[in-house]
Amino acid sequence: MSLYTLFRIVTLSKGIANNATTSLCRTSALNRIQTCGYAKKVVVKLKGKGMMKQDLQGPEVCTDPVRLTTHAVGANIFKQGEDPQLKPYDQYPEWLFELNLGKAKTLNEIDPDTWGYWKRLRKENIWRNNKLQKGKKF
Amino acid sequence: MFSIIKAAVGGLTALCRVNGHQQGLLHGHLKVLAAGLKTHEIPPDHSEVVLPDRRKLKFLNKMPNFKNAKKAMKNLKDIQGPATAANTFTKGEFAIVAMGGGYLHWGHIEMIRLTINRKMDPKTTFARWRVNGPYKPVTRKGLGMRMGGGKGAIDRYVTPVRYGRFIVEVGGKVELGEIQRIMTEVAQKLPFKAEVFSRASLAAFQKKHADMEQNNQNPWTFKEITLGNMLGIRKVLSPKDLCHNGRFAGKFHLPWRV
Repeated sequence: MSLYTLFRIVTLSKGIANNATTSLCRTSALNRIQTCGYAKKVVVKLKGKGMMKQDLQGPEVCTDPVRLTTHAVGANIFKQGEDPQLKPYDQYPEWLFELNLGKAKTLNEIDPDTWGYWKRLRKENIWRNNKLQKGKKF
Repeated sequence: MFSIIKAAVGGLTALCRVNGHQQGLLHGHLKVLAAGLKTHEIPPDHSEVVLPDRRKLKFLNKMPNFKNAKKAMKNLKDIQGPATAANTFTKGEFAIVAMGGGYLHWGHIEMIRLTINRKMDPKTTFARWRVNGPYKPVTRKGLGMRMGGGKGAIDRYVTPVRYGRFIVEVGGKVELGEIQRIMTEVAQKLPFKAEVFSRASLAAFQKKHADMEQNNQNPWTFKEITLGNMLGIRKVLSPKDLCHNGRFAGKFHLPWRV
């Protein structure tokens, strides 16, 4: 192990010559103290009328049918700019319109020759096993 | 350092490969990690199960509301012999079944209700009572009283339970493995021997007893002996022994009797 760390230090010192900023980042990552944060947090009680909480509110829900059918509402996450406009349907790939938007298919609805069937089977077995293990003692 | 170990292990495996055909020198000691295959079974489908509106066990009254309460005799036949009512499944899939006779008092009923209601998941499970609230009066005399002076006052009400009666039925979108722990915990606290059964396991249990009777090789069964009045045994038998063929001794069930 000591050999390994020595080797690491040598490479790091090389790195300083090459690129100062990246090597700094590496050393800081090496020397970082791991904290778990188990200690109890100190709760600061706010007193006075002026310190009322201000909850952050999400964006308004768009209900305009014209805008919903012409723009990808919510795709623009910045303050500036507009939501991008939707292109005509033939410019999008075909699989986009074949996506399952409803409930996930159950096992007997999926074809057992597909990869998705076996993935779903594994998932349901994991869920079942978790349920059965729930009440057990160690 | 890692590279050294890697080289050493690589060398060893290479050595094994060379010698493998002759003796397999190091194969016994080297653990070869390999990904295994797992066969997944199709989990049980609960999509057709309809849950009732009220899934939890209902509160049962501590005593019936009679206008004038009447003292009753002990009536021990209430708890002896097999149950004639509530001994088959109705809506649930699993049940706590009495394996002997006895009296449930209100404390037991509250224990069952609180334990099951607290621990089961009402989103997927429901539970139903198969016994009524306490209705049979039990009298007691006060502590330190002299005997005589008539029958004592009613102390409490109890529910008589016979062998094979269902106490609680549980069903829903659950398997036995999920709910069994809770039910056995309850069954162990009851004043008689009780067991948890599913529909399938109860049928298997009954079939086992039927097979035992059918494939019996011993001609000296209880029934033959009592019917023939061998050695004048009828003199010491009770009439209940004749109709149950000696399978019950009072409230106790004797499972080995054929």
